[in-house]
Amino acid sequence: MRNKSSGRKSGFRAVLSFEYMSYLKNKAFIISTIVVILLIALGSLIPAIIIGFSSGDDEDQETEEKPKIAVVNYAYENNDAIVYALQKEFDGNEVVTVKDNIDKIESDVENGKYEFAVVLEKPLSYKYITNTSSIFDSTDTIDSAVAFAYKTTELEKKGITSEQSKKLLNAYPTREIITLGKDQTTTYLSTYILLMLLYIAILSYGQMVCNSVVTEKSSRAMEMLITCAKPSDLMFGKVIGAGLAGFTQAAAIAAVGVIAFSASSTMMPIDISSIFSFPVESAAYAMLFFVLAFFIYAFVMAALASLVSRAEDMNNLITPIMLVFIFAVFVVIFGINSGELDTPLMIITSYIPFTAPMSMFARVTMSDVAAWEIIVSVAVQIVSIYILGRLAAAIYRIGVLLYGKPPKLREVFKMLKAHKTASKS
Amino acid sequence: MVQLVLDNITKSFADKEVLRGVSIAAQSGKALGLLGRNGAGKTTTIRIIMGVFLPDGGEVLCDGKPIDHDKLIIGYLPEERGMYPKKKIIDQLVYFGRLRGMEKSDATSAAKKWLERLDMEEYINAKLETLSKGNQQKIQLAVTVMCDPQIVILDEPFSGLDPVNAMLLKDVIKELIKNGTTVLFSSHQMNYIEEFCEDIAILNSGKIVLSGSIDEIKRSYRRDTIAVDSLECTKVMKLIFDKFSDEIVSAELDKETENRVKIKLKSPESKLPLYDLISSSGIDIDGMGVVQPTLGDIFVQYTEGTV
Repeated sequence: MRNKSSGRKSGFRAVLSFEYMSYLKNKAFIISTIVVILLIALGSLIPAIIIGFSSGDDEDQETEEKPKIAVVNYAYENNDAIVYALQKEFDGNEVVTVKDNIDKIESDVENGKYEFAVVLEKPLSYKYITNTSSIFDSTDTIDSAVAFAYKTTELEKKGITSEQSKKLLNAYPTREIITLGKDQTTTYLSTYILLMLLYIAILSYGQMVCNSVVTEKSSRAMEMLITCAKPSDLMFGKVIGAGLAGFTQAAAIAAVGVIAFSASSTMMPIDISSIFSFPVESAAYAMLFFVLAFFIYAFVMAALASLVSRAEDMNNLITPIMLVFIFAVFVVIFGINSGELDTPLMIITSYIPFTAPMSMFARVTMSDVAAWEIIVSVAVQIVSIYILGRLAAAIYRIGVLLYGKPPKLREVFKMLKAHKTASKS
Repeated sequence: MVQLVLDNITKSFADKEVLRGVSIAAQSGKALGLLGRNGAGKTTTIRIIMGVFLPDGGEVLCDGKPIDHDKLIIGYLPEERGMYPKKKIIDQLVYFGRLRGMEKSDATSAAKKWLERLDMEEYINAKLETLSKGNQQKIQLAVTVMCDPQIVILDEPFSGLDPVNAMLLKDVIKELIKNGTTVLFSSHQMNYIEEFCEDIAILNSGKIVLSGSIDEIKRSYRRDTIAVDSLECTKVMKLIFDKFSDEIVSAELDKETENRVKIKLKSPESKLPLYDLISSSGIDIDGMGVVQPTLGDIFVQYTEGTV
């Protein structure tokens, strides 16, 4: 009695579910997912924790003594104007007037009694005495305080009361920014984070696909597999299985992320939560370009891995494609850091299959890209995936039975050509 | 019932001609021994049968029609063994069953049945790499036969098995043959070939240099060498040289065993008179008979000096 077997028809489905389940049962895969989820949960709490601490600090400072700033006034009869001006600029300090000589003040600054000292010799000329001199010193702020004091004093001489002059000099315009294009300040962080996730995901999933191909070859399981299923079923099942596993992982992480951040955002002030709130549109584009990038790179890597018979040889063969990918990511990171997303380099790379997922993603989220540009870029990528998939299947067919030293790419194409003519005749 | 025929198969890789017109036929319920030196083209022939390669010329026929791998189930035990070292045995068996089109539940029960048959049920949830080499081979055998194949191809199935496991495998192979499976058996261990195969095909440099039934091939050799086993060999030698020297080409003590005399006759017809002479001489004889060439002798004769 024969079983209800039907030859090779269901190869693809069997490979797909086997590969998918292998990932979900893999300890390293499970652990890395849990670690990322914990990091995200922890990360979502950080803003709240920081805010919690810093607001606590503020309360403490009320009771503590503020660091002192010493003013020696030789310029005006009255100390009020300069003390007021310095106090206005140095909110966290206490401004005190002293009448000591320079030596005494210097030693006081040295032993920390004063944060620094300002010796006002003339209305517009002063000595700044400090322990540390750095590019972050306070001279600019003192400049404006000294100038403020001068202005109020002079205005007072002309009959304008100090109250009136202060009001005038403190006058400030209010502004409202109307951004016509994409607001890069709000999309920068989310784009950056999503790009980094994409980078890590493609590198690690590509590596996973490679490992799984090489393991089958080095363990010689391929000898049996190749007689049970079509090479194309094996290859597509493997790549798509890994893709689905990645999607499952991403979905789990995203779900935790959304819950954690929406929970913690209620504790955050609005200006911070706006940075952390991922625009839904960005996330959707990230997903789309992740899928495209994954297939572009995974097919290439599966085909390359099929040419290798030992894990040690794998790195040599996949390094070039890895470098292309890393280059693509760096071009985009450079672009988003400079804020220039429509440079010729960015535009060109958003139509080249191997760079397009990253470049186009950054441009879509941080710049203004016409709908047709997105459609063309995605179309280029889909066509590339189709071509790369077929090419990868053809290489895979040859590669899986090659043992020994991996062949040069030129030799592979020669074999492909020979194989094609052979199977036609 | 399945008849597998390879009709004048040719295959080249790059500029290297690997198969140059290979024709063999295998019947169900019988085992065909596929012999050949290393690099003769056995694995390529098997891969063409499995559909991994397309032949450049010729055809693989199953019951007279071109082979259809979607319908025909072939179990194959490759010489290069290996499965997933880090995966559970039951998972791997079910996977290979499903690759061959079995439903998951059928594959699971067939896997369990074969693990039991091969005394391996205790390892059902073990990882493959924890098993000994011989036991890993039994797992691979289970993969080969669990989908009830119509054709089974075994490449060096006995290498690495201890005598108990070899016996178990012999039983399995005999059972397969009895149940009407077509068995293609490739090995360099001639004793196993002689034990299972009625027919052989010797492949040399991509060509079949000899094929047919083992018995007929052996009978086709001149039956003119007689072996006489006795503890009194010198007496036998003396008798023959005294009374029968006109009929023989030579008579000598066998090089390998001291207790055998090998007599080469001028004509096979003088066999019976020789038997009469010896049996009536009163010398204590353990046995007498025609020396047949061993399969090893035949193999060496047809493949020596070529690669």
